[in-house]
Amino acid sequence: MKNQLLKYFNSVFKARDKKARNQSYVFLICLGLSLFIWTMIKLSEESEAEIEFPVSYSNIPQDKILINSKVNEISLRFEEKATKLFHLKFIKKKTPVNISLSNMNLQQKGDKYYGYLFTAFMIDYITRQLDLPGTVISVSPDTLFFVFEDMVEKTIPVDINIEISLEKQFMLYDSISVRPDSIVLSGPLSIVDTIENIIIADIHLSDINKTLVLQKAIGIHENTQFLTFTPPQVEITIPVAEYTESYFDIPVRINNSGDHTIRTFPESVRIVYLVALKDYNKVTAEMFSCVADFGNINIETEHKVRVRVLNVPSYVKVTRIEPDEVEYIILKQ
Amino acid sequence: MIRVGITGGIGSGKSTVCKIFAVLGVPVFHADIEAGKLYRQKDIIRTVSGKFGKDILDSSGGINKKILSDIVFNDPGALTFLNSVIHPAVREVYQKWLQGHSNRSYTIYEAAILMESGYYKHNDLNIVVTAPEDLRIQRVVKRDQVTDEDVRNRIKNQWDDEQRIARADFVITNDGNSPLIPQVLKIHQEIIRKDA
Repeated sequence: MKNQLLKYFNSVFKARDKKARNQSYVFLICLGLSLFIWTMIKLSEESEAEIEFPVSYSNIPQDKILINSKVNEISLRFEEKATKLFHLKFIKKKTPVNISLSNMNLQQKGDKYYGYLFTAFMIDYITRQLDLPGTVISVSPDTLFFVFEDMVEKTIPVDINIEISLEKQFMLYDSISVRPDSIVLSGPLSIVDTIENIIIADIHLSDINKTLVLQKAIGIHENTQFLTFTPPQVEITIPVAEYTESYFDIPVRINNSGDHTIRTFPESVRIVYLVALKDYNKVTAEMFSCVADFGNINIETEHKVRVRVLNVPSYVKVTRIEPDEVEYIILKQ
Repeated sequence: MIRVGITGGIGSGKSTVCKIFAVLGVPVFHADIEAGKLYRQKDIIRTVSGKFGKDILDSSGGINKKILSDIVFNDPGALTFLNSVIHPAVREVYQKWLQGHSNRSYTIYEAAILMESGYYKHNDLNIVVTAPEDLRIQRVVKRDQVTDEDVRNRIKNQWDDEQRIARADFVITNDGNSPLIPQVLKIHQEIIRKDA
């Protein structure tokens, strides 16, 4: 059909006979005028059309949350002059239809509350809201269904699933912290009851060489649409510092020797530790102590006793004790 | 009184063994420490600087041990000279020290080159402390903050354990696994038995 029309127009415009070409022009002009007049007549006539409007809901029952898929758009069927319908459908900006749930009756079944509204009864209410021309004949869907659950709140801990690697000589200065370490979760009872914690996952960082503070949003959950997290984000701090190795030779104290006088060999051990550069000058030998505990040693059979570090500054990490066992000699009883 | 000598390669643990003997009440003469003290004596300073020149003295007029050890390391003749000056002086101090401990059943003379110097022959008994070379190197590197190579060079200039053991009456193994104290106690009791 398209090809035939093209052939026709080609034959008209390329016709060698001038008379035939003029006749064709006259025919086309008349055809165009007829179409225009027909369209004008049609647009001035009353007509019916269906137009979609977005929907918003108000007066949702307090302490309840809607858990079913709500209708986001309704269709209104109008009767009006075609010109106005055309304008309404394609040109005028559509304001959302507000549907108040204040007068809806709810029926409780188990943990859930069910309610519905007949849209046919709301035609006047909708028409008033939208300041619409013409008459609304019908609304689709004819019924709006709602399922609610009680809204509850619960404080749950925030856990992180984090993988990091540090640049050489850099270490965690303290444990990785999350602030706040718990959040308030609000949502339907049936969902809230199933959530014991929030895990912020997929944090992969490599070659860290400084302290990092990350802001991470909470909300990665299959039922996020029904849940509210307060606060909505947490701050994760990864404290990192550059470390160096150092040591002190510390005398071995003797514990639980009873009536015996005991000397250890060696009398002091080397405590090798890692310390952040910023703390290096704070560390003194007096902050360390170590002990050889004879409480569980059989002095008849055991020649060596293990040395245990008793006191150490909280900000150093002891890597080894050299030697970690000492021999001993009992001098007198 | 029985005179007991203790020696061993660098890092073998001679000092630790001597400490145990000291705890048992045995007087210990540390020849190397006494030799170190002698380098501060005026007559020794005069003799040594007369041989090696004034360059060997530090700003306070004492002997610069670093310079001296460099000379000795590269010149065996210099070592012989130094030993001829220091060893008799040490022995003189030692003889006086022995007189002060004549009432003891036995005394100990600790020296790094006891066997090499031949002085072991003056003792009634000699003890050698041994340890695997790697462990000795490891101990000295940690103790003196020197390199592996430095320690190996010093070991090269000493006798090996085989040579020392051949001249010893007792051997103490200080390999980090064998308990040291039972070995020392056993030798201690044996010496006391000999004295009795």
